[in-house]
This record gives sequence, C-alpha cells and structure tokens, in this order.
Amino acid sequence: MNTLATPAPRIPRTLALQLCVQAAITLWPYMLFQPWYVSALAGLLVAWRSVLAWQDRTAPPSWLLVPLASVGLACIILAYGNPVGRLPGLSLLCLLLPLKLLETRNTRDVRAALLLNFFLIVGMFLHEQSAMIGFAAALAMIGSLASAGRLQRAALPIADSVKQALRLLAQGVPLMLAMFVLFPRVDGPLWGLPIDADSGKTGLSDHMTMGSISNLIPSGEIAFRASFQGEIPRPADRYWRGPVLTRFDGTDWKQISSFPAARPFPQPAGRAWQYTMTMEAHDQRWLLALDFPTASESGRFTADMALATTQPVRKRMRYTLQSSPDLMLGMDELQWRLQAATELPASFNPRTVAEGKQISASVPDAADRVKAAISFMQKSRLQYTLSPPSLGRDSIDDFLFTTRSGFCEHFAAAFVVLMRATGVPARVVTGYQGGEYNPVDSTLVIRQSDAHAWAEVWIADRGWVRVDPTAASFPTRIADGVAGSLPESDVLPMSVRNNVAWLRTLRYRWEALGNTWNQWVLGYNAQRQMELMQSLGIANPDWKLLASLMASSAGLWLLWLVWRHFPKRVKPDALDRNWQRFCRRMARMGLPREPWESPTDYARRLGIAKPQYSELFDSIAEFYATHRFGRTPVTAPVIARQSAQLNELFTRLRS
Amino acid sequence: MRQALSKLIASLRQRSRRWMQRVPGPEAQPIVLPQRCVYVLPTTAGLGVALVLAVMLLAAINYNLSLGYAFTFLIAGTGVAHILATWRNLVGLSLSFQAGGECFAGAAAAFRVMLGSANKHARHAIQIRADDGTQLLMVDTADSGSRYGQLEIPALRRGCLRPGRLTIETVFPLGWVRAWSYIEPDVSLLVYPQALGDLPMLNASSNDARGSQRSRLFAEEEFAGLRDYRSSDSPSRIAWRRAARDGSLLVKQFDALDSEDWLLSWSHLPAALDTEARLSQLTQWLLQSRAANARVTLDMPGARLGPDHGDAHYIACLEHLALFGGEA
Repeated sequence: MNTLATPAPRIPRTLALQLCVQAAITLWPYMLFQPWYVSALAGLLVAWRSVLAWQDRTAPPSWLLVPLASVGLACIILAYGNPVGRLPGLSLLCLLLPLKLLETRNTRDVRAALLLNFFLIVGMFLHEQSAMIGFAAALAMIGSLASAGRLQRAALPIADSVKQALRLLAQGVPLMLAMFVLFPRVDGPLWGLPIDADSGKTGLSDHMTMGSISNLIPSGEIAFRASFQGEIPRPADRYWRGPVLTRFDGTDWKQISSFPAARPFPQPAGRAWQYTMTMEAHDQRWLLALDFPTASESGRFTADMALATTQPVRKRMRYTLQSSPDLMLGMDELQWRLQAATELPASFNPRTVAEGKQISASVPDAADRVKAAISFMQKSRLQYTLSPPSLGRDSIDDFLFTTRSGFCEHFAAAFVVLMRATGVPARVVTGYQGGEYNPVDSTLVIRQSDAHAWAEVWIADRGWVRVDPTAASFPTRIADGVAGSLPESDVLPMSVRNNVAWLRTLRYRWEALGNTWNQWVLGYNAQRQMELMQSLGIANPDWKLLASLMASSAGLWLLWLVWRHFPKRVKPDALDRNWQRFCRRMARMGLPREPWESPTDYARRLGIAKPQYSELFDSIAEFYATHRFGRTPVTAPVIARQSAQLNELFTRLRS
Repeated sequence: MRQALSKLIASLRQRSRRWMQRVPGPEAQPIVLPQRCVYVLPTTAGLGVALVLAVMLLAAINYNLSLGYAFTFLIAGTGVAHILATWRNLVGLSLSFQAGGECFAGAAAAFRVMLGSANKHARHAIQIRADDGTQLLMVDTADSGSRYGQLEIPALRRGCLRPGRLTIETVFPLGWVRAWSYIEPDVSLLVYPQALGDLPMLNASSNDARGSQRSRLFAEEEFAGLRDYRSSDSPSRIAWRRAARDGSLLVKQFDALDSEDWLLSWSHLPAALDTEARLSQLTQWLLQSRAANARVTLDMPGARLGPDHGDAHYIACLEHLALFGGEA
C-alpha cells in the first residue's frame, strides 16, 4: 500500500500450489490414453513444482528445463515413434504444461500457463468426448477461472474464487446452449484429417475367414444401437444384415462386386419396422440393417440387399431405416449371380462335396435338400465353442468330420459348401444377431459380441431364404444369446454374461445416459441441426437464418446480462431517511455533513457549533450509528424512537 | 456558415474532452463513478484468450468436436460476462479524498481515500494509479460500509500539492478486460519546505549567532507534558518508558525557561544561500523550536510572524514558508 513503484509481480505461495492442483485436474484424463511413462513424467514434474511451492522456494534455474524437455521428447518418441501427429502432439502439450509451471515466476508466466490449460482441455476432446471427459473438462475449466481470479487478487479466498468462477460460467451457459444449437455445422473437415484419426476401430470386416468372427466376441464394445418406432422385433427376427459373401477360394469368403442394385426395390409386404440406427465408427463402407431393408435415407443398396456407403464410416452415424421381414428377396436373381453362388474351389473339401453329391442324388427338391443338409449337420454332433481347434487345408472337411467343434462362421461356411455341393445356390451373410433391450431408454443395444454369420439359399419360387445352421444345431444361441449356448469355461466380457441383476440395471442406466449423450451432444451435426430446425417449424434452414437466429439469441442473452449487472438504485430505508432528514436540517443551519465524516464526528462538530443541543446531537448520532452498523435488526419501534428524537430536536430548534 | 462550422467543431472537441475527462478540473467530493465514464477494453491476456478461442473453434469445426464447440462458446460467454462484471466493479464506486498528515518536500505526501459503494455492491481489486502508471493503491470493498486506503504521492517541491489526474482501474475477476475511469479529486495538501541545514539559531535579543547558544536552548528547559509523536521529532525526546509500557509514541515537551525569543530571520542568513536553501534552513530551525516548544519569531521579507509559541503559530510559520514567493 505504501510502495511508490509497482512491486515485482511475484506469485504468492497459495497461488502456486493452486496452479499445481489445477494442472493435475487438467492432466488426469490424459492418463487414460497415453503411455504410462509420459503420464508419470508429467506427474513427477507437477509434484516437484508442488513441493517447491509448498516450501515457498523459487522455480529451478531455466537451464534445467532443457534436459527435462529432452527427456520428455525422448519419452514421446519412444512411445509413438515420431513426435508429429495427433496423439504425440497431445502428449507433448501434456508435458509442456508442467514444464511451463516449473519455470513460472511471475504473473505473465501464470497467464501463459492458463492459456495452455485451455488448449489441454479442448485437446482432450480430440481423443475422447464421453460424458466423463466432459465432466473432467468442466472441472478443469472451473479451476482455471478460479486461478485466473486469484491471479488478480491473491487475497481472495480460494472458495470465493471458485464461487466467482462458477458465477461467471453460469452466466456464459445460456450463450453456450444457444450457440451450440444454432452455430451452422459443417459436414466434413476444413482440411485433411491426420491419418491416425480413426485407428483402432473394431468391427466386422468385409471378408471372412475361420475365426474372424469369434475374435470379435470377447469385445463388449457397442457396435450400434437401434430405436424402434412401435413394436420391437422378437429375438428370432433380430438378424442385422452386414456384408454378404459369395466368393469362396478355399480359405477366404469375399463379396462379389457390390455394385448398386439397378432394379426397383422389392415392394414391402406384410410386417414392417421403422427404426433409427446409431452406428459407431468402424472405418468400413457398409451399414447394418435388419433383414430385409426396404427403404433407407442414407447409403445405397447393393445387389445383395446390403446397405453400403461411399465413404468409410469414420464418425458415429445416425440413419433411419425401414425393414420388412417377410420380403421375398431375389425372385428374379441374375443368372450369373446364381452361378457364382454355386461355385466351389476345385479339389478342396472332397468329403463335404461327396456328402453333398449323395444328398442331391437322393433328394430331388431344393427345399428338401436344405432340410437334409441341416439334419446331416445336427446328426454330426458338432460342438459350439468360442475357441475352436485349428483347421487344415480342407477346413470344412476338418470341421465336419474331424474336430467337430466351431463357431457360427464354421457352421455357416460348412452349410454353404454343403449346399453348393448339392447344386443349390447358397451364400454366407455376416452381421449381428440379437441385441439387448435397454428398458431405460427403450433401445436395442448390439455389441461386437453379438457378431454372427448365417447362410442364405436360393429356392426357385421363394428367392433367397435365410437359414441359420448355428441356430438349427443350437437353438439356445438365438433364444439366449451367445452366453446361453457357450460352455461356462469360455471367457466372455462382463457385458455379455447377464447373471448379476443389480449390475445389469446399473449398466442399462449408464448406457442409456451414454446413448443420450451420443445422440444429442456428440451426434449433433448438420443433419441433426436440420431436423431440429424442421421440428421447430422452420422448413428450410439456411446459414443466413441460423446466423440471424444466433445473433438475436445472443442479443437477448446480452440484454439479460446487462440487466443483471446494471447498477440498481438502492432505496434508503426508514433509518437512513430519518438520518438524511437530520443532516438536511443541519445543512440549512449552515452545518452540512462532510462526506467523510462519521455520525459521531459530525455530532461532535455540531455540538461545538451549537453547544446548547450537543447532548441531543450526540444521542441522535449514536442511536443512528448503533442501529445502522450494529447487528440488531431495525424494527418499527426503533424507527419510532429515532423519529421521536428528531421531533424533539426540531421543536426545540423552532422555539 | 464557416463560423458556424468552426463553432460546431470547437463544441464537439470540448464535448469529447469533457466526455473523457468527466469534469474539467478538480471534481467535488465524493466522486461517484457514473456508468458512462467507465471505459472497458481487453487486456493483452484477453487478446490471448480470444486467439486461443479462435483456434479452438477452428479445431472444433475441422474435427467436428461437439464438446469443442460447447467449451469454446462457454469460454466466450464467460468472457462477455467478465466484461460486464468488470465494468460493474467500478460503476457506482464512491471516492472521497482527504489530505493526510503534514508533509515536507522530498518525502511522500499522504492522502486518505475513503472508498464506498453508492449501491451496496462488493468490489474487488480496485487499483488507483497515478498518471504515469505507478500503482498507488489496491483495495477491496465490502458490500456495505466503506474502506479506507492511503495514497502516497512523492512531494517533490514545496507548495500546494494535488494528486492530479488519477486512474481508477480494475481487471477483476479474470484479468481479460480492464475497466477504468479518470478522476481528478478536489483535494490538496500543503507541502512544507524540506528541513535542511545546520546553521546555529539566532537569539532575538542579541542578534548574534554563536554555537553555544544553541545548546543552551535545550539545556535550560522544564518538562511541560507529553504530546503525540511527529515525524520531525528527535528520537531522544520520545518518552521511551511510556512507549515500552503501552506502545504509544509520545514526545516529552519542554517549556523554555528563559523568556528568550529566537529569531528565525531570512535576512540574517548567509548571502550565498539561494531561496530554497534559506527556506530549508528556516524550516529546520522552526522544527527544532517546535520540538522545544520555544518562542520564535519568523522574520521574512514582507512579513513578520511572532514572537509566539504553540502549534497554531508553528503551523502558520510553516505555511508561510511553504507558500513563500509562490502565489503570494
């Protein structure tokens, strides 16, 4: 207070400590995805700075930062191979903050550290945007603003600074909501995304080998969600159609060129389901649909009646669909496609082919041949297991006649080969089967562990007919899901085993929350924005309209804010009014109160000027001061006594 | 026509000056900062935040980060709320200035300032700066009642000192924007000449200057009582025993035994001294006399004060010295 020169703005101890805690809050979500030693290094640096702050010691010399930064860079190169890219960049930022804190000496450094904090908060979203991360970011945000507040006024208690930050953030929330909804969203990036932006997505691939589907089962990850308008299909009808595989070379099943369907779509007949799918990103070009899709707003139909997109699905995607389970599919199938569906690689699986020939000799009708093949497989006493033994060159022969245990892809492939040997066109369909109904938000949740493969055979007057050889051998697979038909010894994710009731309820709630979050926060894109505008009655929202809506809502918000902050006139209460009456009366006598004068000082001065009333002056001033600055409430009798005092004085002055 | 135009320009110029400077010249107290005189602009830190926000928005658009959008808009909204909060922190602040204790040239002049709120609103981190930017004060005020602070302004020369144009500013709560207002309080403090010089004092009757007489002044005197300590008092006169007992700093006062007058004469000072040096020497003598509560006569060109003693006389003499040759 008595310094004439501006003091060097050194940061006080509590602020330095607060910044360390703040850094820890901001950095902890980074622990979830970066290598442990990068997190450990960042943690160590923060801890070191905290110890220095605790002992009220200054920052270490700057030359020390060079080796520290080099160690950090080495860690990042060790972890990612190169320091350029999205994840290494984030890790680099993550180390930069503690390093900046270590060299923080004055208020300028703190400001830079706080800006770095903002970058880190948003950087986190590049990796994950779950509700948890959002919550962590909000905490970090509150902490940053509280630190910024205490940087301005170190004497401010931490609790007050947090309150201040919350108040400011709360005032910003209406603008955030309006802008979030109205800010024109763009589809697709402004510039190229880095190559590693979508790495590590799991899901079905567009071809199948033995074991490729059973590999997905241990993953409890959600593949997609479906919410139905009206009735939800029974478990036996929940076949989610993915890539259709016709070409078989002995080991691999592949699609035949998936050109778009040129013919008009078959007319839907019988039952129909309307539903909305929310696909998780899987980095492939196909979409899933319930058997058999008839109308879709996104994607295009392939000739196999599967849905495909032109671009890989790199973001969570939402689309509306219609499916008819009773559709007659492929009544007028092209001859060359039927031909392709009967081809078998030469000199593979001789025993299966022989078995097929035997069936075709004894059974003339195609539909009866299907039944014969199914009953053959049922009689073979095959085992259903997640960990089938490895198979040789003639994989189907080995499965059917030697190992006799396999997963759904073995069953489907074996059945298709058998059918082709009897001369009936057949193909493998991959996708998902089943799904769990979440009663909290009424959606079906389909996980990677629901991945499945089945077969379709072509019969002259019925078209493509679905046959599920796994279900034929193990009906429980469809009724109870994977968990019901597998031996207990097979390892399954927690989400697939359903035997803990309260855990299941908890999981339902959590996943419903996650779904709402995905739909309304993360999945809010140009399309969603359009839908929302349309549901509000705006038929054709363009960016001009959005901009004007945005401007007007921001204006309204600003008005509210100004109204909130505009100084309100404080009306004097009765006690003050009486006192002002007294002061005015004294001013008329030529003795106005000076603004800095306290009531008792004023009374003393008045007493000197007018000694005959000094006692009365003193009692009036003291009465006012006691009740104005005291803790006792100002009640009506108090005011009455004050008025009485004044009246006494005024009558004596008049006489 | 041209006359009307130049008249208009002149009035506009005057208007804008009045607008920025509130009231031309010193303002009556208490000064209450009105809404239209509080200006707000972003600070460097605020510009930095704006830049970070722009980068965040670009990243949100490019990577389609919904949470990125949300937090960008949240920080932006907070920033706007910050502008109003900062503005609000100053509007309605009332300031009353009062001159502090006596001050000699070369020391710091103290002004007491009472900060209150015209509308019951707690204020934080209010800074008062001098025109050259040095921070003079940083205070908070509670939502009711008032806070006192003290401004210390270097008093370089003797004479009437005004704090001049002051900047009241705040960057609270986040430091992204700065709100400020200019005030020029109508308060002044008379700065006395610096007390300097070690020439011996003159006896009024003998008119000769001998060193021995100066020591006599302090030798033959009688204890007359205690009074409050002033910064010019010699430490040897402080009642240390009393100070040790209850912490109060009092000074022993003595009455000169002999009724000798001391003459503090301008004309008897050596001709080599310039005006300021003379005034300094006279001030030095006056302070010594005051410490001894001795009778003095101040003999100045055109004025003669005393012989007399007592506080009122010393103050009158000091004021005369402070204003000597200036506006007189």
